[in-house]
Amino acid sequence: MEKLQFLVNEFKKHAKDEYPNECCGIVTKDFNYIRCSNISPDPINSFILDPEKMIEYEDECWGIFHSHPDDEPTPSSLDGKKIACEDFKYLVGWEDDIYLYWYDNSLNCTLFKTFDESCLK
Amino acid sequence: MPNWITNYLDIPYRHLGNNLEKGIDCFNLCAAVIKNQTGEDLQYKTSDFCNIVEEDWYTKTHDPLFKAFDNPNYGMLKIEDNPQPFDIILMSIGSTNITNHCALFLGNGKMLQTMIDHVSWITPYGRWYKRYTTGIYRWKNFNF
Repeated sequence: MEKLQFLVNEFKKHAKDEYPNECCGIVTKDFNYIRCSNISPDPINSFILDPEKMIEYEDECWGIFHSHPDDEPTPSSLDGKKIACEDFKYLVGWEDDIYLYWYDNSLNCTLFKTFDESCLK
Repeated sequence: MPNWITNYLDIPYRHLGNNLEKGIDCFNLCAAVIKNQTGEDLQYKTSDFCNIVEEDWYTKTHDPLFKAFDNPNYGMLKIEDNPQPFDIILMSIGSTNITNHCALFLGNGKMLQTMIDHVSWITPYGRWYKRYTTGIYRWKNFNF
């Protein structure tokens, strides 16, 4: 429970600091949060995580978070399509509404669930 | 029609959306009108029922939306006939046979709805929509 709350708080703080841009960062395997730069040319509507950080944390990466400031906290249909590497978990949200999402190849769509304790196992 | 209805017309459609200006989907629209006009909180939003992001989610799943409506602990009562204002009409529209749409009954044979490629609008609840109705539900605190 502590780790879940810690991560949600980190996401919230980072999202507020980068507002109105989308923020993004890496969740490590020991459930710490590494703030990364959003290098997207349109950072209000999209994110591209700084690849240098990705390389630096490649072996420690558990998941990737990005924020949806002032918007629906659920993933966008583009978010699902952008998941190229299935080695990581993907998280999205705003304030306390954080979701884990993944692309389902057989259904050809993006599924999501509330980010809760079960996601950290 | 009540005067307040104009606040809920011409809103863009957005699957999973819950914003009366930027975009809203069919269930979140029903819940927002009920909340704003009666103070009753249905406690759910579309993302609690539907875990697929894409607008054509109903072609990708056999899971019916609104499963909670048939859970007696939730608070929706199934009505046999004669809808009243603020009743929610569930429908199965299009080629799928799952319940994939809902509208808010307004009285006088009219309902408020929104769907893909539309903005929210008022339409008669007539023969066409009745044919696709899978259930009419009333929130527990609306005891007329």
